[in-house]
Amino acid sequence: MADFTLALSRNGIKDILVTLADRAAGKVNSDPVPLGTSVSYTVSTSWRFEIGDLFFAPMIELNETDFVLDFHFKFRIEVPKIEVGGQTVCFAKPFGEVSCVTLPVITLYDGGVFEFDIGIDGFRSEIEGAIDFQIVHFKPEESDQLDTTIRFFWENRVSNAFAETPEVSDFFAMAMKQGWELRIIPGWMDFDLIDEPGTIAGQFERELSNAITTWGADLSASDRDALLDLSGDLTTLIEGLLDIHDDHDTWILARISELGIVREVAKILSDRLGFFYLVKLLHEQKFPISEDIPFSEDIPPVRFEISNAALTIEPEELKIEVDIKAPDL
Amino acid sequence: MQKNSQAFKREHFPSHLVGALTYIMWNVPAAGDYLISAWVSDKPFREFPLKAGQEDLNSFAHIDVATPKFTRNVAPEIQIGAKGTVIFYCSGGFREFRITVTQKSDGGEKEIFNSEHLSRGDHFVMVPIVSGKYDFTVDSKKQPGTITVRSSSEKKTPASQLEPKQATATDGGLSPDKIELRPGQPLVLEIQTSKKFEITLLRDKPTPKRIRTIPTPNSPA
Repeated sequence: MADFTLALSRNGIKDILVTLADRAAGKVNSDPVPLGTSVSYTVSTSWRFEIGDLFFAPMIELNETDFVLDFHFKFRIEVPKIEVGGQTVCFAKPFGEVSCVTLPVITLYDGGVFEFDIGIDGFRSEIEGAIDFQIVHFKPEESDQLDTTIRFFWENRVSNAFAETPEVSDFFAMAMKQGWELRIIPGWMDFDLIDEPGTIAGQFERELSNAITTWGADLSASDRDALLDLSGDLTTLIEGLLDIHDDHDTWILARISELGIVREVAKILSDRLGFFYLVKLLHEQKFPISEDIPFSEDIPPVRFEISNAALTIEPEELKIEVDIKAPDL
Repeated sequence: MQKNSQAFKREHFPSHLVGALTYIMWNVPAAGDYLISAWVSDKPFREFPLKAGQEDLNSFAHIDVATPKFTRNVAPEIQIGAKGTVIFYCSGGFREFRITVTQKSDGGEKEIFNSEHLSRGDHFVMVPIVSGKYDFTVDSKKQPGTITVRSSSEKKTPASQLEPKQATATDGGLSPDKIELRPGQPLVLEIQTSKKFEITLLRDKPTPKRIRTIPTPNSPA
């Protein structure tokens, strides 16, 4: 029988997962992605998780948990020069023979740059999956689970911003110490990044249309007339340059998949889970005899070591059983 | 940014003037020295010396009559083969130019070409941008011939890649008499008339405004 048992209820676990989900939120910025010769774009993507219901046994299953994405596209389009002429014309000369000439080229529009931002926020994708918990006896000197951030923190090379946020500072400070950690282990996970491409495409189309209208309003009347006369409406022109051919769904999905968002998010989560603990008890715990009596040389704290810990998931709760022993003094 | 604002408003194309979106093509008759003059109204605007050498039917030269003034107002001599083609055009600006060519010889100078009197073998090229229907008139009289410029609803082909259309301008009208163009598509007219002709966009006549009578206290009931 264990020396003591720690039990976490379903709601307690959910609270922990909500906290974890907050820590798992993040943001990535893409490098500029070329799209043809005259268009490039960058995207910053931020994501967060919203934890729904949990089912216990044998692992903890997530239900109605949402993966929420915000995309911020920045497009740069070089609207090309518009020219007429340059074609070859052949005709019979009065001297009796056919010859060909090239018509001179006349530049009508010198071209310009059209930059615009499109934000597509709150795009949700439902996740189904299961997670397991594991008790790990963490020894920093033996661990390969420390990521770059925590190593930097360890070496006192991280920004002071960490130190200024007590929660984060405490988390990292604890993360570096030897102790028993309750960790999350992803079991299986299944989700379509884009559940409803029509929704995101519709939002993109509306935003693009607004951006083009704003840009068109900023153009001089003659520039706008030039573009309209020679290239049709501005939306047709810009969509042509973006290489969108009516099918906004396919186009936007291709842009998002080019970014490798899933791979990027999975990598970041994996890096973070490497040192994310949910609950941690230090290997050697010290407690004051009373909250009213602080530590001192005369009155040393009560000390004990955790010699073993085990975890069980039951239908309504998660149990951690801990064996303790008095430390060697 | 905009260069050729005039081009986008061009709705009238007189055959004797080179301006925004019109070219005139003239064939050099023989080897020799020529002087090309571009006129604005009746005032000389620019001169271009041209030297035609050995016969070369396939040679051609572009002359931009709107180029900035040359040093000391003399353009460098342009070389071409005899029986080659000179294409006069205007790269920008709002002016329209009449073109004359004089041939120099020991006996003096003789005008051999005047764009007011285009003749067989010359070509007039127009590149309309403004959509609509254009009428063809010879000496201010309507003759059969309609040019319809219509924008396509399909994906746009860049104007410089549109295949030029060819037709003939005669005293009696255009042949064929119905021509369809896309904005920016050149129409090359072979000249078979010595008269001036004009191609003009048809504008809907404005609807006369109804005059509303405002009753006054003294108006009859």
